[in-house]
Amino acid sequence: MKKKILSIAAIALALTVLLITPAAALSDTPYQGYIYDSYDKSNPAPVGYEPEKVVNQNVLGLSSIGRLYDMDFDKEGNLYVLDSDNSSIYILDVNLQLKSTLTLNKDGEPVNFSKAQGIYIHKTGDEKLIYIADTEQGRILVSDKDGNVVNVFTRPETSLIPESTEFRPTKVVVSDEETVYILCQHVYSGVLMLNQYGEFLGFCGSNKIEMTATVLFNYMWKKLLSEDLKTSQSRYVPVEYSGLDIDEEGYLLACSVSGTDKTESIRRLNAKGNNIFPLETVFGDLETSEIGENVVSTTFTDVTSIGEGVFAALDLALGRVFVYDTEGSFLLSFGTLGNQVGTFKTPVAIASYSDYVYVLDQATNTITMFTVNDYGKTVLDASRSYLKGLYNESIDLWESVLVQNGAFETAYVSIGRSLINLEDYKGAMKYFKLGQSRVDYSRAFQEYRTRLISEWFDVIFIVIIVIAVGLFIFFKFRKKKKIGYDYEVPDGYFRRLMLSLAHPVRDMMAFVNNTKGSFWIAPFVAALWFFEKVFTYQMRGFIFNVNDPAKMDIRLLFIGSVGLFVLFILSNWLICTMFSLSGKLSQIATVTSLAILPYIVSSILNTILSNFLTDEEGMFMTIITVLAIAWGVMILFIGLSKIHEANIVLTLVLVLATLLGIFVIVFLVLVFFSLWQQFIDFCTAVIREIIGILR
Amino acid sequence: MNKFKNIKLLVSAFMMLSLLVTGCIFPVSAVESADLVDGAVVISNDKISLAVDESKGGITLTELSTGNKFYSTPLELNEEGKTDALSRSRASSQLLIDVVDDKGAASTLTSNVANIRLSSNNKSITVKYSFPAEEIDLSLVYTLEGNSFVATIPLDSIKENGIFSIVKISILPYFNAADREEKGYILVPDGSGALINFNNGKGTTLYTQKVYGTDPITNRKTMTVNTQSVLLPIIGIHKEATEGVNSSNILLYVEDGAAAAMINATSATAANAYNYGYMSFVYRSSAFITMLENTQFPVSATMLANNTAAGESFSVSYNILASNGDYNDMAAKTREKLVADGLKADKISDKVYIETFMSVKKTKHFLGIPYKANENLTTFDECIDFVSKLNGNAVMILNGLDNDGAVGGVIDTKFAVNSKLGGIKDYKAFVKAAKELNSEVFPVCEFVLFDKSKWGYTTYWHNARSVDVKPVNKLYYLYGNYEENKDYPKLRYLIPTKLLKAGNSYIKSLNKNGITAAAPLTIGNSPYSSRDGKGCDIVSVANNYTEILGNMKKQGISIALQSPAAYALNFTDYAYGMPLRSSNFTCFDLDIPFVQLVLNGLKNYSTVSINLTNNIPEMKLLMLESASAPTYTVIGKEYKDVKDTPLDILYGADLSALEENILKEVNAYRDFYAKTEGKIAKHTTVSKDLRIVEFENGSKIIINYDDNAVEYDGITIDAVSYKLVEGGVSNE
Repeated sequence: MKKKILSIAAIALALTVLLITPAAALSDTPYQGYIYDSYDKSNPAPVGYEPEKVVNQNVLGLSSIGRLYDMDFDKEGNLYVLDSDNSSIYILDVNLQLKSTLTLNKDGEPVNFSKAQGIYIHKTGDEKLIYIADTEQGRILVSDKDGNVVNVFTRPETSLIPESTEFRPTKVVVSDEETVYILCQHVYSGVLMLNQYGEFLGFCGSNKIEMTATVLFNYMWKKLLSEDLKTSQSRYVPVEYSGLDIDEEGYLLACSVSGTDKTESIRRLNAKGNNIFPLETVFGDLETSEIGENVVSTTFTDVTSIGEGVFAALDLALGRVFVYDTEGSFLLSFGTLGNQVGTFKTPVAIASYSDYVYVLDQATNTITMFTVNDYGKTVLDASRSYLKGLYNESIDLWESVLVQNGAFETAYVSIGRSLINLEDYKGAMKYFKLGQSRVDYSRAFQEYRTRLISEWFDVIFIVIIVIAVGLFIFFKFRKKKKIGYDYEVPDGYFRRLMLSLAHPVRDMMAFVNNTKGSFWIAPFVAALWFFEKVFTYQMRGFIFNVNDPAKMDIRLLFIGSVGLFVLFILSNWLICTMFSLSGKLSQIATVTSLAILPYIVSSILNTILSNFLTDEEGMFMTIITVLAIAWGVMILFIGLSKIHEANIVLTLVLVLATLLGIFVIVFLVLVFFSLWQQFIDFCTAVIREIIGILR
Repeated sequence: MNKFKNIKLLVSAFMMLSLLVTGCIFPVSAVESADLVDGAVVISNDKISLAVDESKGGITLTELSTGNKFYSTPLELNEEGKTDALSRSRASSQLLIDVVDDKGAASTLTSNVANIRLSSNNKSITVKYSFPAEEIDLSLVYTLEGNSFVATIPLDSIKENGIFSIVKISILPYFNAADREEKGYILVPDGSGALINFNNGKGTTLYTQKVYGTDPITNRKTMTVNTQSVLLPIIGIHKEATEGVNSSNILLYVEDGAAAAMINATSATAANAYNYGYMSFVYRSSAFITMLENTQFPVSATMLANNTAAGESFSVSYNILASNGDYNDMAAKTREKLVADGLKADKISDKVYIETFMSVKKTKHFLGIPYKANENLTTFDECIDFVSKLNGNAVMILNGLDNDGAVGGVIDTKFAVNSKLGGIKDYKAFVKAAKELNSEVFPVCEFVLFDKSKWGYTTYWHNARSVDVKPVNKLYYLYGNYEENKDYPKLRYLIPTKLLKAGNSYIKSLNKNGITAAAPLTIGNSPYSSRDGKGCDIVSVANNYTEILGNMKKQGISIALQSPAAYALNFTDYAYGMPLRSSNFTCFDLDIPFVQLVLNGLKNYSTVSINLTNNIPEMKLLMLESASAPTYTVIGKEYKDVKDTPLDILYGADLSALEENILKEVNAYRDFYAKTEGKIAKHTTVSKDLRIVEFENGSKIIINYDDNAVEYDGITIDAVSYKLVEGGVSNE
């Protein structure tokens, strides 16, 4: 992990160089606040936290200072800053004025804790204890407020930590129940738990290996290798935690430097070690970039509880602080890399006290104090009111947040949730739509629909009875023909079309081969499919429509429908020509059209239904789609086997070959376009040079 | 004997001839006021004297009334522990010259290793510096003007005969430097203005900012941190009286070449005992470029523009102010300088500023087919309705009147009003209605940034180019990863040689349509350059800007400019969006409203948009402290209508949601203005969080930015609040 942090620090430094050049902007802080919308795009927002002051060795009035590693507040508002190089602890007040310097001693002898990486202040009864994760010397030092070491926890006795793994604690926190939680380097089983006597209790919140395609491939590959070769390959181990804190409810907040799995990069662990954030809650930046071969994404290095359901996490890569509530809602962001007050070079630790947030920058050995401004305070208060169940108050506060920041989807969602609790479902639906929260919308819609149905029950009941009676009469008195050996497909274009869809084995060829103008079904279906795509994109119910209607690109929809349709027909025709099969282009087009029709119809039906169903009822639509696709595939197989006079195996081969053919055609088109683009770029460069010479 | 006599005559003749020739070259003794005293050439007037050391070129300035002496090289420089060898070399130089050789390698020349030759007349002393190894020559001329001296580098004295090209020249880097024992501050005009206390222990590197903002010629690809621009070409150095040192107050003011100037300042560090501030000038634009970046053979070098700064000289005046003064005196001197340059006082009013966005270009769909079209955000009716609710007396800045929306589009060469808004006819009716409400309307126009071609102004042919021969762009960025937001327009800078034509054409169009007001964007504060030849350097661009603004004034057009820089102030009727804070660099100690102190009583100016700032309560206090009028930015539609457009920054501009608050705040501001009359007599910084502003009518306000109430002079001021004191009685 150290290596990873070092490489991230290097990237951060490179970014600092990129970022320190100035640019005028609207924000009056060095950084612009922002939030993410439901399409994971960043939107500018007011800044909620502003830098108040920054202190270094000189400002603190210290003659020498070593590298600062960590800091923590006690309950009285004293900030304990860990200077490991000097084996000292500086005690500052909330305004970052130096109060005193503390050194540790045991039995009158000074205690060295050089390169210790973590500090935690714990109050038990009236006694204040200072816990230090002494990394290099593999121990946890426990001292009283005067620096007398009262306890030392060394490597716990357990077989769960391999003998070969050194005990190198990096962070430590202690719960009110006196459980000591420790993060250790190279221990991948989670957070180590000790009791107050230093006895091993177990691990909690173990990380999992992120199952990416590369991981899976390497896993399979290793299966084929010899033991010797296996050992020479890199190992996949779960990501280590990098920061730890305990919130006022006693939950453990843990962050990890993990890059890709944004849902697990911060966890709120209960006593069982389970993450209790809502599923799919994401943390950190959703927009990433690349510098050389490195993907620059959020790298959480520390986390702190701000209190009353709000916490902040520190990003080492881009020097940002993200503020969330315990529901995982992203509330505020501040900080960046740079050389102004409020910016950092290598931020490694974060602490908070009474809504103030403090960030320790190891590169400059400075601590920056941030104060919450009017906007930030309103956001925090609104979130806290909601979490406390003060819905009316929460709505008012969120409304005033929206005056300052109309882009804040979380505000809309929170207002909606408050309105649900106040049983204003229609109002809630409006806000959930503005906040793009489909799950919540579905919940409000369900309640609203239930209420609507109970209000209009009489009318609905009568309508259902009338329809049921009507259908009963229709089926009861409908004439039914018996089908025998002398069966002939009835005449009529539409009738034959419907019959071939309903009875493909019996009736399809009559339509394909013996119905005048049957080919014209192909352009009709292509157009219908295209229409269905547009219709579905725009008209699908909000709960099921994750598309941004404003961003619809008809060209892509055209390629995705008509293009695919034509490609399939073309590819199949080329293949069957290659194999000297009997199917004609018109026949292939007609069969393909018939095969697609059930899907198109089901999709239109689903689009209509999606406006009346809730999230949980979405499975009905899935069933309809699956049935339609299965029916379509069956039509395709039957049709192709008949027109190409092929058996089932050959038909299967034919379909696979057709799909391969599509791939080849697409590949060739892309190669052509790529070459064309390069040619255009070349011409552009030449013209630009000529312009440069002429000017 | 005769033979000897002849030789004697010959020698005498040779000596006389030599003296004559030497006298021409070194006419030191030939002039009355330039004396040679203790190895230094001295010129003086009735207030100051300036001595230039013959051997090293170092200067000593003496204020005759007080006997205060100011040195270009600190006296105790060579004492142990003062500074390292590199800084010592720089401190004993009058010029630092950044050069680049023909292979793109950069280095800095210090004048202490140059050959120098002095010449003088009764008004000036010229020091000619020669760097034989680099084959570079240039002169530094000192002249006296009242209580100040001016250091000038005539651009025609710069000779580059070898492989080295000059990039930047710094003048008198350690002039009046204060060492660790001294107390005082350096004033830098970053944003509203900031003070760097001597020996503040913040241990940071040199503060360096380009005057009037960074030149975009370097073409950045990633988003940068937010900083404020430098609007005034000044630096102030204030020293308090300490043992052996009298108090002093000096203002450095760029007299010539301000568009190419850079402000430099630093507090003493562990490695360097000196606090100092100085001016540099960019002679030739440059950028460190990596070519063949994605290959195995990347090459990095400093590349240069094809042009050098235009104009006659780089010139800085060093003005000695009242020794017991402070930044108020620096503001007064700056004002005096601006007035001497032609700045005229306007009638000051309590008008409030309303900036609105009338339309924006956004992606729309017809039958699902995406296309770009203008969407109206605010109507004239909404504007006039709002102004009437404000009881008039407003300055309205209208963005996005034409068919291109508020961002990008073609270069404005013609005044146009979007037909959906009602066209020019409706606009005129709107202006008339606004006038009846004692309000003025300024249509925003843009002559610099564009993303759409039109005849004579194409994005392909007519764009400025960076030093690595690429189009100079202004980009929009994603906030999450700092990368370019490719959904938003990529704005080009117009090639500088076309600027005047575009501006003059627009002025003609204004005249033709009977429009008498304009708010040109960009040209008020952001000169830029292009690597191309003559007329494309940054000084020429600033000259073009002033010419366009001057032509507007000649045609009787009233001008509103967004945070105008010093060169544009002469032409500004309304300065809106003036910064109220500095960039808050780590080395800064205090922000002060210096720019406003300079403009106060001379020009009408306003704050940045209050409703879009982060900290509205604090911003309102800053407004009162700087005696600024408020600016509000509003649109007639909701945020969702500007989301996913370059105007997404208008997250808190919905007029319907803000109206009630704005009306209240404007009434409060007008009450305040009526009581103070807005003319500042003195600004005092008691502490970072406590400020006092005394007004000319005798009233004063005490402002407390702290989170806790404070008591001052027997008056309790609540947290983040102020008290107005009139006739010795405090009011809420």
